[in-house]
Amino acid sequence: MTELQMLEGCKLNNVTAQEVLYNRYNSKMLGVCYRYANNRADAEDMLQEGFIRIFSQLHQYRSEGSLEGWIRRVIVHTCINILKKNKKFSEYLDIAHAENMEARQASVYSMMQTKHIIECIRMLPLGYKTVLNLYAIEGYSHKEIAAILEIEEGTSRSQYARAKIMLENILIKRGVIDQSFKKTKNTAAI
Amino acid sequence: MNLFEHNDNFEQFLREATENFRMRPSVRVWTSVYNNIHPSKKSPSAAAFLVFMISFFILNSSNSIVFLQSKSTEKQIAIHVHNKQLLTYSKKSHEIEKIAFSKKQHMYQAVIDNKIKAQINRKSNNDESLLSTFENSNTIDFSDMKSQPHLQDANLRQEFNQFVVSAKNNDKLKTQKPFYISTKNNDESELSYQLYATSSVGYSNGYRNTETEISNASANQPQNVTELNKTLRYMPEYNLEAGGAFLVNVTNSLRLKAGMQLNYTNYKLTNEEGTGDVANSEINNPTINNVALVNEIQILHPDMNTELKKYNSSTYEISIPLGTELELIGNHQLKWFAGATIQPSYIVGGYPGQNTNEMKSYLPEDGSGFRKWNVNTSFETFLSYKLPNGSRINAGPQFRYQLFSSYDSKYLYNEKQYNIGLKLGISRNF
Repeated sequence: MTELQMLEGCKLNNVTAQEVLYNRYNSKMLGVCYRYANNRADAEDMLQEGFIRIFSQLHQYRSEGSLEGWIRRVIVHTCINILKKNKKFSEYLDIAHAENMEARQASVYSMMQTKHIIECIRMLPLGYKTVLNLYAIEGYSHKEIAAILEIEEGTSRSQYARAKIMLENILIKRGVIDQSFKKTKNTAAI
Repeated sequence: MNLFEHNDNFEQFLREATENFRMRPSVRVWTSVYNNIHPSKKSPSAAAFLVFMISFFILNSSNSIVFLQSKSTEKQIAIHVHNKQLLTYSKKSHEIEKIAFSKKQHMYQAVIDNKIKAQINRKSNNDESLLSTFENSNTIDFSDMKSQPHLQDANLRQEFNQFVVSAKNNDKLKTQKPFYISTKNNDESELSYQLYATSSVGYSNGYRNTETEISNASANQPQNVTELNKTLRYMPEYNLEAGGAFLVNVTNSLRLKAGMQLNYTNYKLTNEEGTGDVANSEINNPTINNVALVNEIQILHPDMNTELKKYNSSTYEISIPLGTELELIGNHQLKWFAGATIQPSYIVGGYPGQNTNEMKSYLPEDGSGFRKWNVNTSFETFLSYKLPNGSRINAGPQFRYQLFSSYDSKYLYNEKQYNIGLKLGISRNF
C-alpha cells in the first residue's frame, strides 16, 4: 500500500489503512513519547492519545511536508498537553526550582549507545527534559516552545542552557560522551 | 569546559543519537486507538461476549416446538414450547403436562431434571395407536393426539390442539429430527467429578506494608520507600495449575465442589528502566523489626556494561479449592457456568523471595520470611459441552488472586500474586 493509498484509506475511515499507518510509525513515535514520559506506561498512554488525534485530524494534513514530520508534531504536542495536565509540570518549569534539582541518580544499563543517551536525557528534571527535547531534537524555536509551554521565551532559553550543561555532565559521568561524541564528529567529517 | 560550545554540534549529536530509537508498543495501544476511532465496532470484550452468549442461548431456546426423544422407542416425549410453558407428551404415560418456567434458559433443565424423568418412569397402559405416532423418529404424526383423554384442562387442550394443527401443517416440523435424550441421563446424577488444568500468565504486585514500623536500626532507610511499585517492574511469567474436584448438586443449577490442586506460580521482577539505583536503595534495607529484609540485592543495580538483571520467583503449592458453580444458561448439550473458589494453599517448594540468577535472596536464607500458608481465591466462567459418551468438556477463562501477602507481616513490603488464564477440563457424572 502506497502512502497515498494509505492516507486516502485513513480519511475514509478504512481500518486496514489505519492499521498500516499505525504499524508504520508506532515504534518510532513511542520512542519520541518515551523521551517525554516518566516511564513506558506513560509513554504508551501518550502514544495512544497521539494516534487518536492523528486519525481524527488527518484530514488537516495537506501533504505539504512529510507525513512523518506531521505525525511527529501531533505526537509531540500530545505529549506536551498530557504533561501540562500534570500539576507538577508547572513547578518543574520554574527556574529557581530547576536550578536546585539534581539529576536523578538513575543508571543506564542498556548496551546500546542510543538507549544510553535516551536514558541520560530522561534523567533530567521534567522542565529541562521537555525544553531540551523540543529545541535540540524536535527543532522548535525558543519562541515556539514558549508558546507551546506557556512560558517566557527567556525561560525556555535558560532552561535549555542548564539542561545542556546537566546532560553533558551526565554523559561524561556515564562514559558516553567521549566515545560517541568523537565518533559522531569523525563520522560527520567523513 | 563545555564540550558542546557550538550548539549545532550538540543538537546534531542528540538528533543523530535519538533518530533511530524505537520501542514496540504493547497490543493494548492499538486496541484502545481502534476502539476510540471505531466506537461502533469495538474489539470483542467480555461484555460483548456476554451479550453474544445470552443471545445465542435465547435464540436457540425460543423455538416454538422442541422434540425430546430417547433412543429407546419406549421412552419418547414430544414437547411444545409456547408462552413460557412446556406441553409435554409421553407416549408411555399418554399424558400431556403443562410445565411453567420463568426463564427460558431454565427450560431444558426443568424438563430434564423434574418432569421427563418422572414421566419416563411412570407406568400406564400403552395406547398402540399413539405409540405408532412416534415410531418414526423423523416424521411425527399428531393426528391421534387430539383425543387425549388425560387432557382435562380446556385451555390447555385448546392450546395443544392448536399446536398439533400447526405442527401438522408445517412440513419442516414434520421432518424435524428429534432431539435425543438418554434415559440414562448423567445429568440426573447428584455427584460428579472433574479434572482440569489451567495455563495462565502470572503477575505480582508489590506495595508498602503500612502496618510495619521501621526500626531505629534502619535509620538509613531511604525516604521514598513507598515508591517501590513505581520503581520495580513486575513481569509476567507462565503459570500452571492442575487438579481434580468432586461436585455435588445442591439445586438444578447450583453445585458445590471440593478438591485438590497443584499450582506452579512464577513471575519476574526487574527495576524500572532508568531507575536502577533507586530500586537498589529502596529495597536495600538492612533490618526491619530486626528481620533482615535485604541481603544481596546488588544484582538489581545494573552496571553500565552488564545486561539488565531479572529476579525470578517461583513456587510450588498445594491448594484445596472449595467453591461453587452456577449454571447461568444452557441446554442439555451446551451449558454456561460461572464459578468461584476459595483455596487454602501451602507452599511446598520452589524459589520464593525472588531469588536472583546467582541464587541470592533478599529474604532470610532459611525462608522464614515467606508465608508458607496462604489463601487464594479464583473466579471463572466456562462453557461445558457434552460429548456422546456422557463426559463434558469444560473451557473458559479464570482469574486467581492471592489474598495475603507472600511475605511475613513483619516485612516492609507486601506482595500479592495473581494470574489470568484459560482453564480446560473434563467432568463426568458418577
